[in-house]
Amino acid sequence: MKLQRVLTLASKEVREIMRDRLYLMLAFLLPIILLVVFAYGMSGDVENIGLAVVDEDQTPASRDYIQRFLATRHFRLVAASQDPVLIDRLLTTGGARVALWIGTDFEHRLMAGRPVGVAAHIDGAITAPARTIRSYLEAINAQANAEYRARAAAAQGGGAADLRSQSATPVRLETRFLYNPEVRSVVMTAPSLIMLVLMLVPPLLIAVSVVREKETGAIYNIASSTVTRLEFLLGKLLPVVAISMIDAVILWLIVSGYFGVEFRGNLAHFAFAVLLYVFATASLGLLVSAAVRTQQAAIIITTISAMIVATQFAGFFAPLDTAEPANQVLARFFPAGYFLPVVRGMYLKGAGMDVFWKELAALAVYAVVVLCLAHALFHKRTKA
Amino acid sequence: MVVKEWRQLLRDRALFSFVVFIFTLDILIAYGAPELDLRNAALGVVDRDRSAAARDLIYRLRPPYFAVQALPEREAHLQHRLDRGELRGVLTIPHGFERDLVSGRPTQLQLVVDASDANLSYLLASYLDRIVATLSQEREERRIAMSGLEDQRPEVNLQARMRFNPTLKEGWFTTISELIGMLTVASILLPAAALVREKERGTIEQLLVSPLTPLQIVLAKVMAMTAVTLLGTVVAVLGVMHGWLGVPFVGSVPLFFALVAVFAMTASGLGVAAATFARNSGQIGLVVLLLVMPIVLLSGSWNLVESMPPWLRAAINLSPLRHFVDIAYGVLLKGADASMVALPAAKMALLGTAFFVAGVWRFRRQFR
Repeated sequence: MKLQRVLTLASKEVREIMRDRLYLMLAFLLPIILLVVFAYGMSGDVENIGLAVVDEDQTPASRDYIQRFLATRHFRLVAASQDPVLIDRLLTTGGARVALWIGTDFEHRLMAGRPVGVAAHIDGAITAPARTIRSYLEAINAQANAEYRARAAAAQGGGAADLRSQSATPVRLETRFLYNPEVRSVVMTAPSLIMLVLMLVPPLLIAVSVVREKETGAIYNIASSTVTRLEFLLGKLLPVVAISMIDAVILWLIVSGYFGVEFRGNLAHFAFAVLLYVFATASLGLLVSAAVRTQQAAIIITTISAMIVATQFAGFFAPLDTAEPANQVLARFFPAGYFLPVVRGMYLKGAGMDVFWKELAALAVYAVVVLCLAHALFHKRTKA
Repeated sequence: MVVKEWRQLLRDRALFSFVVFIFTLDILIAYGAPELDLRNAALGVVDRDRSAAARDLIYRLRPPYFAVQALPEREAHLQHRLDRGELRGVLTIPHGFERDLVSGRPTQLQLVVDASDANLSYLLASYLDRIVATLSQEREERRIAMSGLEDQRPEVNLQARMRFNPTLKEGWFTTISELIGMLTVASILLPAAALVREKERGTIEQLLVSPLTPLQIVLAKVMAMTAVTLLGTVVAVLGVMHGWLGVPFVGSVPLFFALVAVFAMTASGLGVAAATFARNSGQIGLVVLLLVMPIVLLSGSWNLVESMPPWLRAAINLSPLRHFVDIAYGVLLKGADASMVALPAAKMALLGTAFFVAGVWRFRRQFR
């Protein structure tokens, strides 16, 4: 193998790419679109939720209670009505996701120091947000109760009040949300999407560039030349790795800039990890292009398998260690499973290579093994 | 023409089995999808008190929600395990926890959560909050009973009730959202594949020189494929979901399928447009995939459109699927009647027709 020949092939590749508008779009526009679509599409954020209110009490106390919900970024008032039929209709059409019902004796009972019931009807059709909405409601209600109790204790005065305010909440839980203090869902998804996009785009680019070679018949020039198979493969691989690294920079800028997810890690370590990962996924693309007879099939296989692998077998939604044993084994065959904890750990938690050296070593070994397999399977001349 | 399309579909083994798959097995698989609830969350507990009260608290952190690990107290080590994602959170029970509880002094537990997984971390914190609140309330009641004070607690009891899916059965939701996605795939892919097949084999020229107008050719294909999609939906909803899995069908059956037909018909406009971009069946798969993915992901079939930024919401409202999602959940689960879905149905029909006209226009221009 001669380095000179690899570089010549790579520079030929780059010149061809610069001339192909569709390829440039695949290379640079597709990653951005994928990132934005998935970041919002997979978001579990529960904000700006329609809240309908039936306030039969109409007192300062009831209004204050309602206002506690509307003051957060999670809820917005869509209707205040005394008509239960209208409220029910809103829940059914999706105009409101939650309805609060406050009875006539709300203020009266609170002032008298007695418990009072408030009903919350949550639209349970879409289950995950419904669960989150319930916990927001409960948290806001608990905070209101703490204040009511403190106020009642202060109003009573005297020694009894001291005792009471002390014991109002004997045990308190102080929670600190590490790495993501506002608990925004984009903080979880956006960095992981770097993994997903770079699982999809490099193999796709490789497959397309090998197709073009075959469609124009240029592969026969390669076949009849002294270029070895390894040189040809590396000549295909290097430009795609370079493009993918540029993509990684663009993705990183969008995630940290537009989505405002703070990067806490070491850039050099992170870049090195991404480079290893891109090598692994691009090699996987070469392997598929080499193994499959028709290149259309190669494109479809790389795209669909990348989507399935990245979302189902990498621990994207739930941690891998709680997944089915079979899926855990399957995850070991793809680079995404190794890379996901690395990207989360380095990006969000500020961990370095020392924490993740095992995963990085696995990625490097993976890339080399897959490249060797592709080399073994690849033939310059496709069999008829 | 329509009958010819059906015959061709039956002969295309790959496409036909794909259609059968998405309306039957795929829905079944979706029913078994894992719950996005707290399951065996690895929670480390640093117990500095080692008392009966601390043990009582730890005992309450039970499976299936929590998988508790007792931890020694070495900060550096804890940080490392949180960094690697081996622990979801660490709960610290302070020294003197029991003593404070008994003497009535307020005491604090500390919880550190790995919030890089936003939803799970929020659930973990709120489950723990609830457990601690129960513990707290029990202690408080005991103290008040012992001190002989009058029980005065101004308190709002919030009774949250889940409408339309009272026990939050995950399968009800996952099957409907999967159905919505697959319905979209079918109504775009099928007419597109039917058109591309003619292009690929060169038989489109034969059709064009026949007395049929391009519009008639397209309409025949769209109607044939809409009928297939509708039949698939009937099997999926009445057979698999309602009949077999017991997912409720609250609203009117004819209303639902009429609106499915309208949706499938109008969404096929996108398929016609996609077919003009592709030269063979391989490409059409890719084009449809890239088209359907954002449409389905952003349509609100499985998260909330209202929580997205305003510019994106404006764009999503142009998608007919966005309105079909309201219709599907409304009629299937919530029992919406015709008057309730009239507005989304009108929007869907209007937007869908616009896409359809655009698709046919592109098709005609290509074969002039």
